[in-house]
Amino acid sequence: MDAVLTEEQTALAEAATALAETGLAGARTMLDGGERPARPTIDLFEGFNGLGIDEAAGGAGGGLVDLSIVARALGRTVVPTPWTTHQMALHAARAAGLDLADGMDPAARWVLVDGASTAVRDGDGAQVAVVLEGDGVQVCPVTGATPLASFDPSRPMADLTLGEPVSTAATGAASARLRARTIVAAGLTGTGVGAVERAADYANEREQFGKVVGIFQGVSHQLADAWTAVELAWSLVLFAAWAVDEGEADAAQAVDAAVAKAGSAAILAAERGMQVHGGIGITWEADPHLALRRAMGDDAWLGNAREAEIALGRALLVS
Amino acid sequence: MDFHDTPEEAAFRKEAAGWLADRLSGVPHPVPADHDQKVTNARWWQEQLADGGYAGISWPTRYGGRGLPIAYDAIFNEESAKRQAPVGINMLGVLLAGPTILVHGTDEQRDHYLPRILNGDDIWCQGFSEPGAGSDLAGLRSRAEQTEDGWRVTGQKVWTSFAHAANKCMLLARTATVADTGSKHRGITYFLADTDDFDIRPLVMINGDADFNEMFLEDVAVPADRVLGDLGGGWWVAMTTLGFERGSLAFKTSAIAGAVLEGLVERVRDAGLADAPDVQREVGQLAADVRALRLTTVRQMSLLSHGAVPGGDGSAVKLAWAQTMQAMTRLAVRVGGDASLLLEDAEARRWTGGFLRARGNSVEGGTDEVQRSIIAERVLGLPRSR
Repeated sequence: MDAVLTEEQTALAEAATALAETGLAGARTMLDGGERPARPTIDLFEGFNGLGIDEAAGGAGGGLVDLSIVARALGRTVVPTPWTTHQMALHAARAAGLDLADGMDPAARWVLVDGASTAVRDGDGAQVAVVLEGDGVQVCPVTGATPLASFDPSRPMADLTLGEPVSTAATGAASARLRARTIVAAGLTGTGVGAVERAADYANEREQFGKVVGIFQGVSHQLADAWTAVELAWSLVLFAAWAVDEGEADAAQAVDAAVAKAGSAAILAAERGMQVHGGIGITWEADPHLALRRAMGDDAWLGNAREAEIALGRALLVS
Repeated sequence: MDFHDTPEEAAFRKEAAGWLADRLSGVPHPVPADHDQKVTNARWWQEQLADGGYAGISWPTRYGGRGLPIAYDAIFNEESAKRQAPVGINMLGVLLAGPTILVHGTDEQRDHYLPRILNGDDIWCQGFSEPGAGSDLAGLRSRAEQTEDGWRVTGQKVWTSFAHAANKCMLLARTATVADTGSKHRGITYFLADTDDFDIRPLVMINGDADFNEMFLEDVAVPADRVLGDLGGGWWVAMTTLGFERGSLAFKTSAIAGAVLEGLVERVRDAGLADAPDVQREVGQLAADVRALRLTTVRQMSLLSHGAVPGGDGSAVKLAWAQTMQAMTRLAVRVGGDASLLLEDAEARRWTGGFLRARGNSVEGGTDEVQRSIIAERVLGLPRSR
């Protein structure tokens, strides 16, 4: 067993973390009705587009673990970017064996649609939708978009009108969903760990009763519980990403387990992080609600923790 | 990132699995009815481990071990727990005393004590906790006074597992007062004591078992050559011992959780609740927890084999493990309704007993609160809160 990040993966995590540094500022801009900042989206598309897809299949190489590492770094600071959605769409096309060459253009903007093309994340500005229908997959041009106001403005939503498919596959959607849900779960663990880290920083500065509040166990133990949940969820995500790439027999259960824990862990961490910030934490101007909005929004993406829990329990009990 | 066993690990796992299946078919009491039968199983199992060469897998060959990396201990522990193998009677000797002596002992101490642990000549218990010193271990008050040829120790120890079977004890006692040293961590000495003159009394737990004991020491003579490490420096030797409590043991505990989950699934089916969505959801949550325990332990073990110092993951696993064990056994009892309460039913009694025993999981080996403080300090960089 050698379940550690390679040197390359550690370097990838550092590079992605550096790119994600401006994430909260960007999320704040969008919360207040501003445009999505051009960076780090430009850099992500230039540097990491097609990550986790074999070069032979037209991707940039690496595996789903690598993509999860970047998704986690982006979730950590709630980076507003359509890059993650685009990668999920590329992976879906790949899972169905469809051509993804156009999507490798750094200017391409693809989105993933499961079923109806309503409330599609990062739909505004998308050129192509990869649509999952049952186990079938279609690649369709986007011909119209109606933006929707969303609880998490850092992942804007839109209803899409789609043109006739340019390519179709009868199978592949199940595999596409496993890949996409793993990427969502990876981002959620990042959102959770970022919320815990920022709350710990705050607890090391904020003083009451003549001491920094982090010295009180009522404060520190909340964050320890949240970190525990997020760290254990990250183990599940890493295994799920690895198991999907390796074609392990229990990959579907591995993804269910990751989704089951990542959403709840991220929400717990965002809530505990907010509580540790006290009164400032419930103000518009402070950052904790950016993480809470992202955690709640991403938990709902492609099936939430509750559904994953039931699926996992049913697989064990009814077989 | 590779969660597979290496080919060598896989071969070892296969060999161990075959050996376990073979030896476990001869366990004296497959379903131990009482404490004595459990002890009989534990003694028998220690003999089997020694005979099969599985007692000291990661120990140096010089002292009778196999000299394999700690991951192999972890694999063996996992395969053992899967098959509900008994605990070896000298578990604490193999897991704690031996490795600590290896780190801090003199050559004479290593040569004398280590082989005797694997061959079962010595059985060890751990005399750390006291009535006034639980989580605050450095607050211990047992004292050792110097004599012409060694020490005389007086004090009281508690929660001592295996003391009823042991002849040796990892014993902490003060050789200098806090007033003398100016620190409660200095002035504690770590002794390798004989238990012959200890007054040992079993403590009955809430599930009726007497797995642990109280130990009363009054002027117990300990020879001078029984000091492990520096005189007055026993706190740091004790920290080494506690470090070994995590590590490969975590694999065993996560595998135990896996075995309990399997039992829970059977029990839910038997109760006719396999199709109930709320129960499915609860079982699903627990199944994800059990997976997370194992995978986090695999990550931790992999880091250790790269020479990394474990961070807070050991505490995270311990904390989550206790909660998961408690939640699984609680659900197993509750799905049974009234029938769960009937003590005549061996299956029901197994679950209520397990449920009660699991309460101890969040106290033994460092309470939940201690684990949270470790995470807060070592991972999150928060100030010491005590």
